[in-house]
Amino acid sequence: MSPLASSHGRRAALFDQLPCGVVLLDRKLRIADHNRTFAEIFGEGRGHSCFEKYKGRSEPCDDCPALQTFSDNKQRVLEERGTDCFGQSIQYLVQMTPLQDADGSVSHVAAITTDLTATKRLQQEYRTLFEKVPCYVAVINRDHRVVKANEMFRRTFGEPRGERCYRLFKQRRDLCPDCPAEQTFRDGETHTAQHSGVTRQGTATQYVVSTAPLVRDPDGEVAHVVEMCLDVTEARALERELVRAHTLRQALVENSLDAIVVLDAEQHVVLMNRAAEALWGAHRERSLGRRVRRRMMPPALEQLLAGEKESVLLLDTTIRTLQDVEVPVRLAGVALPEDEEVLGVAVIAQDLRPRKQLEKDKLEAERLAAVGQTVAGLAHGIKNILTGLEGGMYVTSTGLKRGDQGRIQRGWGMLERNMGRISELAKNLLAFSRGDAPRPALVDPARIAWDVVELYRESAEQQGIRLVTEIAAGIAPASLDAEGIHSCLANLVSNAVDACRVSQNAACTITMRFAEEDGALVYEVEDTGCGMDYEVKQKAFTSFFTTKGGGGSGLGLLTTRKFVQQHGGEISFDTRAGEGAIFRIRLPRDRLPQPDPPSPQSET
Amino acid sequence: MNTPPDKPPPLVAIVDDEPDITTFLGLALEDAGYRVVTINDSASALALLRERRPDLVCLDLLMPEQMGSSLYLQIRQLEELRGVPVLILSGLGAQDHFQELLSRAGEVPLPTGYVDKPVETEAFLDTIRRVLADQGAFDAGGRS
Repeated sequence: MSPLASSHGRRAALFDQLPCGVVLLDRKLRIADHNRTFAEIFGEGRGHSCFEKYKGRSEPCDDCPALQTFSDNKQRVLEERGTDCFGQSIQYLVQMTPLQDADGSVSHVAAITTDLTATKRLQQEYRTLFEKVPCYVAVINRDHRVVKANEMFRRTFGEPRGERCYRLFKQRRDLCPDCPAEQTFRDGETHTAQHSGVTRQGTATQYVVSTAPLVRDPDGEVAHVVEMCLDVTEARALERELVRAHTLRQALVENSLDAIVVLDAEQHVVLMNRAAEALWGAHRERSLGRRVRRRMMPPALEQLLAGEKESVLLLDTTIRTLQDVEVPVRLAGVALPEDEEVLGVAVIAQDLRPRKQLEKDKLEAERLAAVGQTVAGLAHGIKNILTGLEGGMYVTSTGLKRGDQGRIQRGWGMLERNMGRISELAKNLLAFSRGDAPRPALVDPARIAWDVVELYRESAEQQGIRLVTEIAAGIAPASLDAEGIHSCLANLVSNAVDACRVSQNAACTITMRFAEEDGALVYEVEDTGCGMDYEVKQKAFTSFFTTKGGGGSGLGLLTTRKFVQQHGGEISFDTRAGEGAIFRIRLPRDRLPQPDPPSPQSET
Repeated sequence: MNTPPDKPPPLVAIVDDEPDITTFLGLALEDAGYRVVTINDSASALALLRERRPDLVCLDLLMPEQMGSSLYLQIRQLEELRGVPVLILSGLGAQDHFQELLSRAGEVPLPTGYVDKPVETEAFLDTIRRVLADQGAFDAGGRS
């Protein structure tokens, strides 16, 4: 191959690979030759007219630039719209260059076509982006004046062209000391900063500003900078609020006296506070992310995780510590739902050990106080009897001295009466002290009420007293000293019968009630008898006080109270003179004495 | 007997819910020459005391349930009874206990004295005599 031929070949290859379409047109506007790029856009064109290929026309265009070039021998560039080989509209830049023969005449025109469609579309897209982006975008010059601004910018700041950016954003008169645009002008790099501004209305505003170089001078200096500004005032406020809420929550959770644990759906520990560490004897660092052991939590929590319940409240339950110690707690569990799923559970537990101890101490103190009162009352009773005996002796002896028969008899009566009181007292004391500790066993608590009613039914009827029962059925067995509670109720009914007997009311009623309320067994004996006046009411639970003359020991209610207190309960009453009285025994189940384990002998 | 002939002997009131005790102390005081009013019902006690205006009151504390102490406070708050000496009869043997009750009630003068049960006749009469002498009342005693 000759050097010329090879040179021609290289040119042909170069011609084909040019990134623009090149066409040689003759004077009849026929395509003499074209390169491959042209064919890729407009299709094979040799022998066809240019207007046919470029625009799908059957005759030349009215203002054909090729013809003009042929005639004036001048180069021209223009933007044209045509149709490509697939029938799609196409926008292109065409440069017409006259090609002269050796004699200087223009034999051909070279038409170099650059496809502008993609560029134009891109330009349009960029413009839309610039206009519609939801932040302030402005192009500023070296004087920090706004040259161009987007829609949002204009909407907020009005027509900003020519205004300085620091004036618009901050109402400042001079350049900000840390201006990112200034840095970009200086080093041509992108810069981002956070700025606080003030609106025209004086509202404080937070911005995140980014600046980037846009246009460079011919000498390489940055002539314009695009400034993008995002208003983050609300986001910052929300962020602060979030931080505050988080801090508050953390402080509340951490300092809560109740133990708080959050488990995820797989029962992994997500959160635990200091009180929870103490309650479960677990280290937080070692527990977080670990699965909680099944026996450490009450089984009821699984219902929450299974989505069967939204919350549980266990007033008296137990948990187990890491060291496997059972601890009584009051516990609330709440499912943490998200849509249909259960994300986990929050557990709030209160250690009941101190309270249980207090309750125990209080019960003990009440028992001691009851014993103390009894002993004091006993001493008083004995001293009164002794004074009565002393008096009997004085009256008898002075009667004897004077030979006064009446006085002797009076003194003798006093002696007899007080001797009788001593033996009565001794008998009652024995009864009072009998079974000092209750002997509890699981019994039907309603049965005791029925037994007492049966005991008094006949005698009440004989005295014209109506005996009514309101005794709930189906109450679970309870640990009681049945004999003791029986004598308590019998004492109350016996008092009621006496109250009815001396009452002015023609037809009296005694009502025996029994029910369970809030975990407590409640017995009530109500009568419509004579009731008590203030004085008697005050002394109702006083040892050796009686309204029944010689017929009462003054120990009945006291014994009853002692028994009720030994069962962890309380007795109260309400009464009005002439209208009757209601006595109420309340025995909370969780304070009842527990039955003794059966001894080996009793098992046989 | 130092009582001038034109003056009646001092009147002593005994308030106790035990009839045997009022009988005993009443007879003992009458035997010693005093006039006596016995009261077993604490509810009507105050009215009777206002009516009879005794020279001395023997008041049973009854029990820790405030009966005696509330009556004592009422006596002390009444203009016409305020100056009357009051002896507390008590089976409690606990003067401190009673004084504590009183101090809780506020500024009330303490009782004139205490007589512990069981009451010993001579000691009781001695106390009565002494209190009345201190009060400047005429002594009715001496007849034994």
